[in-house]
Amino acid sequence: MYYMKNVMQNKIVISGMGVVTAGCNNVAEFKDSLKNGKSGIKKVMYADDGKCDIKIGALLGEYFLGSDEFEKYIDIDASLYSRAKKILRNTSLSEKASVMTALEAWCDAGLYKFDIDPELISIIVGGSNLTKKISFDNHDSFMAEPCYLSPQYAMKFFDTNHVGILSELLQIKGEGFSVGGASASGNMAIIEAMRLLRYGLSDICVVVGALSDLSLMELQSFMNIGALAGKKFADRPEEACRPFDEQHEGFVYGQGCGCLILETEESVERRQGSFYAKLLGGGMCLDGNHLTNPNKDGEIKAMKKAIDDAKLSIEDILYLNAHGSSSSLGDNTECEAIKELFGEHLKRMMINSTKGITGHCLSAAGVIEAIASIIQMNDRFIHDNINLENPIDEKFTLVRGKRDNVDVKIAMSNSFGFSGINTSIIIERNF
Amino acid sequence: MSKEEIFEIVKNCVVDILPDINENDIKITDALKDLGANSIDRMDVTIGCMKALKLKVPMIRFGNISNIQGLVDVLYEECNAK
Repeated sequence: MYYMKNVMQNKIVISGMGVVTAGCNNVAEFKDSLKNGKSGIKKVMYADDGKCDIKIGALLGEYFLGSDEFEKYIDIDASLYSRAKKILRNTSLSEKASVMTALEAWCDAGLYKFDIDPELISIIVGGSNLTKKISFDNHDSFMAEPCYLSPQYAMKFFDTNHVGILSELLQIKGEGFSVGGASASGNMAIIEAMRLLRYGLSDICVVVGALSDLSLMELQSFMNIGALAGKKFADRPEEACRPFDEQHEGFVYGQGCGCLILETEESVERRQGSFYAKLLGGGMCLDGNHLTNPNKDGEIKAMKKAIDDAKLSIEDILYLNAHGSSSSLGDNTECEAIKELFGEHLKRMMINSTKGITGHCLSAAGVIEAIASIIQMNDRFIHDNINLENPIDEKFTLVRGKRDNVDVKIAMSNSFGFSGINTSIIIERNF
Repeated sequence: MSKEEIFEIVKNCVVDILPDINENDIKITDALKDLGANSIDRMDVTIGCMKALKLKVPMIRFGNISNIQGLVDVLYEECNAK
């Protein structure tokens, strides 16, 4: 077959980025929040008469919903703008976030200027069960009168509606699908896109780490399983997410979405485009365990596979964007895995977790943290581990305070999910 | 309920689903498709009207209508058959 000749030949670059997180509507604002170590976590009010235990979160809220961010696209590409306007007329929060980040990434890469064969562009959406809140919100009225259920629901409950929406928005006609890997979905989407491009099946892939729009039922289930923070720091929400700190007590739900344009180096050169970084490799593996507990050996294996895939050695990794969800067992396991894998080299490494700032954006986390890694390398800083007061392990080289003028060429970014799903990716800056 | 009143309800439902449309610009002879409603939007408008009128009508009853007039006529018949 034609593409088999090209296996592993194509080099992959990242030529566009788009992001929304709590308090940030674009990459520039996200960069500021990383530099300032500004947490998007706040007290949240749900209409549950206070019955549920969910009091804090990093929600997009009015800042995103009331934003006129979208209006700038009218001057960039009028037909893209008009398609987006039509699509945004009737989208869920999760879909709106995908549209906004895809618009930013697509225009950032300058792809609207080129006449690229739409069959050579693909879409991969990272995340499953993205619209639980819609089901939850419709439940009572549905039980009262099933026949009045909105027909839109038939499309909206499929995660692949994101794929359809983005294909209509960007007029993409290559391959398209969603991948689910719990909290590792974002990295999984990046790795699957990398494989697609390496195989020569597409020139460009739009990768979205989609917003997990959870209802109180999912959030309460995380609380009941012991995974969620919010007990000790209920009155100081901005301090509640504290990856690798002794007082960590679980993750904080974050809403966010990220989009990367992955492209073969050949494609970006052909159109004389620029790029931010190279995606050197990725690794995935399972623990053989369906529970929520992480596994040190599985995490080591995923990181090792990523390093091997990138044809690097551990000494090449100077910066690591940890999964670091702020859960006690998760942080401790990752710390042990990193210490064992990197050994003496750990002393030369800088480690942080972006989740202290964004909360845990679940499906989107991998893509958002890849963007955070690229921003930091290209802007020569490493963001603070906010809320880190007493590290769980003094030998673990966590960044204390923002580091400036750093020269990091290669970053590793970890994402681990429930059901023993381990992923790691490696990115190289473009200078 | 008169056909005029039902037309007002239909217009409200159209604007709910297609917020860019000005209610005063909707004519009874318009087809929902020409107002920019896709196939799912059209079903949403129909179900929205049924809900507003507290009607339960099998969707097949709306199968052959070609414009808002047709929708108003079916809803009017069903209202008065109650």
